[in-house]
Amino acid sequence: MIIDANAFLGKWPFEDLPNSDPEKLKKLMKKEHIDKTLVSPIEGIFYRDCQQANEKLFKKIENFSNLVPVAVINPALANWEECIDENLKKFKIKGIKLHPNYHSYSLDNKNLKLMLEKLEVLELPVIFQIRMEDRRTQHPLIQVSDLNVEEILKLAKNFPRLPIVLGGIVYGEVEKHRTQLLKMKIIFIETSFVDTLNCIRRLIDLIGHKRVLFGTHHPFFYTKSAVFKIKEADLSSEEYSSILADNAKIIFGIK
Amino acid sequence: MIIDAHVHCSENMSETVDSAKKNGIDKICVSSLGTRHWFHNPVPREIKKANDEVIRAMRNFPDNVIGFCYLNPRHKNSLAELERCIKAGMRGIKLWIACKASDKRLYPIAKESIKLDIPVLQHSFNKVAGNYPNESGSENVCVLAERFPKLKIIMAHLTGAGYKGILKIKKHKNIFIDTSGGFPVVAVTEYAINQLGPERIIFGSDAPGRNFSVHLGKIYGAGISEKDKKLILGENIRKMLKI
Repeated sequence: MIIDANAFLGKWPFEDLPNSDPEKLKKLMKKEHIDKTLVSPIEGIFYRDCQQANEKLFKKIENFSNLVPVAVINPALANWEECIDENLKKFKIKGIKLHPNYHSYSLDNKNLKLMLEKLEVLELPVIFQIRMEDRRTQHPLIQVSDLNVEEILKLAKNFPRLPIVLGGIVYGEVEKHRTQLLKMKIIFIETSFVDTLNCIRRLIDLIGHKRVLFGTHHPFFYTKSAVFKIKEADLSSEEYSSILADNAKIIFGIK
Repeated sequence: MIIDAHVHCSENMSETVDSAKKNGIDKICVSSLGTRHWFHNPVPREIKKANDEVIRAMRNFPDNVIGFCYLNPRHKNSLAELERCIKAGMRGIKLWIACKASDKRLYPIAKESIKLDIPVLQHSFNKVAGNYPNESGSENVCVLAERFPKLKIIMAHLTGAGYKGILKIKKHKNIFIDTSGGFPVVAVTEYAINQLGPERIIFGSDAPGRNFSVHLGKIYGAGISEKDKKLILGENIRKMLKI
């Protein structure tokens, strides 16, 4: 079984992304032998109330058993708590995705802390999306900084039972924070932006295969690139199962 | 045959060559900007040291490594260094960010490149927040291409050029573009083929800073014909380098 732990669906304002609707993603998953994909709405980044984007996407994917809903929540909005409750009840979401850089709140935001407390109680994992794209090639009108990994790790110390996935992290950031990451056992690394020579093998050497999750960053990146770098790594069967499925199953409670 | 037109020297070249081979890449075009520090404006001693690293890699991996000679157009001895490297078997020139591609100090190198019939791999990136002081964007590469229409320029970093850069170079038929630069962003490969034609696109990874397989995925994952893939992955650069 292969689970893609970090993908998106919907419309990006600056270009027409191919395969960004559920039907096309389903076809692509079949082609690349991916069994399940955790998806959040791209529009959740830009809509004034991201719940509108969540609802729109989750209704669309209701009949796609291989697409797993992840809700974009903005704790700076007053409705964050009811959004979590509603998405859990109505759409059976398996996780929360946060875009503090696009939603313009800092990591010491009071509501963010309250929200992470709640998620810890609910045992609902959170994906911090560190970046959506290469900063150098962003649209001139939307120049958004990457999240600071050190600040996320500092924040995460206050929530030791909350599984946190670092989405869109690059290899250099993992290398830089390795010591800290090794101490924090429920922080996980998603692979889509990891791109250096023999990167998956190096990542395993750095933090171990139990902490790595296969991700594609679909529909922004070629899925083939994500698949190829796994193939290149010559994983043992244990490493393969962990990275490609088991870690995601445990973190997100996927059967 | 798969050829990667954009690879750099590292302290562990055998790891780079092994990784290329494992990914089915037959040959890699290697230049060195220095293995420990990349100086924006290297002095002649640093240039020589960098090129010596490439010559060593060519000798150690003769079946796999094609050398490209790194030059700083500010240096008066550039042509002598080029001659030394060509004699050692190098097949191309690498220019980075010591001078913009539009700088007149490049002209003697461009003329020699035409005479030798070897390509110039010219760094270029269109950074939204601004480039380094002497770093080229696609508009600088166009100035060079217009001044020397017989010069074969491989403009580095398709993803760094973006749609704007692709459109900018479209009319300059002597500008080719390599597929390296940034992450494996969808649709750029297809857009480049539609705008420039497959004959002007050349596979490059920018390894070892980048991963061979990730950047092969930009070609194999693109919605393009097998014929176009073959051109991009090897035929275009093979023809240019006369391999």
